[in-house]
Amino acid sequence: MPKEVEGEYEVFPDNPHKTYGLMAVVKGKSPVVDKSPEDTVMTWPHLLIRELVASVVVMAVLLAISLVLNAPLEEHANLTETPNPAKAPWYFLGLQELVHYSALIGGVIIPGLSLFLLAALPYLDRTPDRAPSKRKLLTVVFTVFIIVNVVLIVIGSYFRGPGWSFIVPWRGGSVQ
Amino acid sequence: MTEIIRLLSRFITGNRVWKSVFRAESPVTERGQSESIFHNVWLHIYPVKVRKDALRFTYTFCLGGVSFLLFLLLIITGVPLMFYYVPSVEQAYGSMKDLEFVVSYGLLLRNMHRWAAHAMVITVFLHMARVFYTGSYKSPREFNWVVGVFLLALTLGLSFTGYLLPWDQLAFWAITVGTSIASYVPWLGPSFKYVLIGGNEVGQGALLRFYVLHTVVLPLAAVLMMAAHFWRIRKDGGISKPL
Amino acid sequence: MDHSDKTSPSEAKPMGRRDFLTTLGWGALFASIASTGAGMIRFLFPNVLFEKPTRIRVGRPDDYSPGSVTYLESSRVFILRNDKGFRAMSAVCTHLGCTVNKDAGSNSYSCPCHGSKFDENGGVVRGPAPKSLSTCEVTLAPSGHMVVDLKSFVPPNHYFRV
Repeated sequence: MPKEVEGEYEVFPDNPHKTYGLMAVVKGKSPVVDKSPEDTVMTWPHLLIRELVASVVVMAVLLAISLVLNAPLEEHANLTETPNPAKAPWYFLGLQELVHYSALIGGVIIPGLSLFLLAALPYLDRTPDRAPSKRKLLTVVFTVFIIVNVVLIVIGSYFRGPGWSFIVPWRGGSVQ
Repeated sequence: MTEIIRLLSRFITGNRVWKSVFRAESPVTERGQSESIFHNVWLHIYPVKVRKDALRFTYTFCLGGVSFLLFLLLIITGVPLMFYYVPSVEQAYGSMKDLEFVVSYGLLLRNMHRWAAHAMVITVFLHMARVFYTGSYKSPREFNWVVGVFLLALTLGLSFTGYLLPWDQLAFWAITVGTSIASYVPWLGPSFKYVLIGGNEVGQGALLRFYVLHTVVLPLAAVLMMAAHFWRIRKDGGISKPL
Repeated sequence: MDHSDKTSPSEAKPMGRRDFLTTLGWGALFASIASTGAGMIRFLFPNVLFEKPTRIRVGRPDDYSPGSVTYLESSRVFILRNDKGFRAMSAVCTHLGCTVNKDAGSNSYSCPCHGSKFDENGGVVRGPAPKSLSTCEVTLAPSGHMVVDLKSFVPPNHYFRV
């Protein structure tokens, strides 16, 4: 460090737009510890333009679907007549399929437990590596969880007829 | 032609009003691009720079962003629907029919609201799967995963409460079945069902409660949770690196 | 917090004024929050319901022929009459509250929601329903009309005799 000289002088000119200053120049790959050299791009425009394109695509698809497909609206609600079969919205048909076996186990215990396990997942998983191949058991369990969800929803949507009886949709079974 | 565009853009961005609103330099320099982000209240949650590999479409498939976009679209389509929809047992179904047949673009708005809701359930679910398979829930992002699970539950809750509002057969029986499931919860179940539907059976009380939950309580909760979710992404070091 | 006194924890000293007031302040804050929350939860439980009356008049005994099963749609109840007397059987499925239908051509009942089946007495034949269809209490009003109480249940073998 140079000895302080009497009188003021500017090392770096004062710049009101600058909120940072050069502190020191050091040798090395990067000031970030444990990371490879920075390989970054500006958020504007690189990220934002991608998000704009994605947004436009999503909105166009949504508009197109909404122009072609009408949201369902059945008859006025009627307490005295339960439609047959009465189905929940599709994302709850897996739940309805479980409820068909038992309301307490299928409707409360299994969904509640899976939601709890889902939330607790990061604290239960102690495997250090992120790659799925390094945490095979968990990956299998999670994949089974997803597949069971999808299968139950498909069964509830297409394979359940009047009285929640099992039907085969391509053999004249009526699908709603 | 390019001269006209140049003059026009200078006319728009060169005056005092524009400069008072957008304090950023023109985003042609890196400094201007940085300022465009952190001098803008809506964009300052973004970092100024992002890792190149985080932009790869096949890593994130934009699922989180698309979920958020769908949420915004649901607000944009949902609020106008509230101008015509009356949450009463006598009028709810009639106002749905009005939206469908009488109100200009009412059917389109309702369709967009319904399909965006379905799409959001799918994208939120897929977003969760993406985060799982890339192991992105691991330290330091554990808590953000938990926030995400709450957001998944909120998404399903928003869908479920919205389902009753048309007051048609589908709505009525889906909610009758759904709330009866709640009554199987040991101890608290019957009280919970009573509070949820405001009585012993699905009726006016249930319709109003679901309406308030659907239009005020759950969206507000979702907005707050999303704010925490996005802020945590920054604080946890941006989105995780591709494997 | 002021930890100036260095006495060992075993020598339990009486609580100082500052600690006492701090504890009191926090306690009052939490108590007020908790009681406000409890009041808020209580607020959500309606005291008066504008629901249909649960005691309904279902006509005179002679309106029902022996051996008949009559469905009263608006009250979701079946009125059964056989040689043992009258029985008011609720049509609300004991599983998740859907309305059961009487099967055409037989005396059994089935629920359209989750496929529960009930026999002619309302007993569960199959499906997820945890218990048989409830039997409501039937009384006779002084006017000679039968009154069914939809919220008061009696054993299924309990028949009302005129």
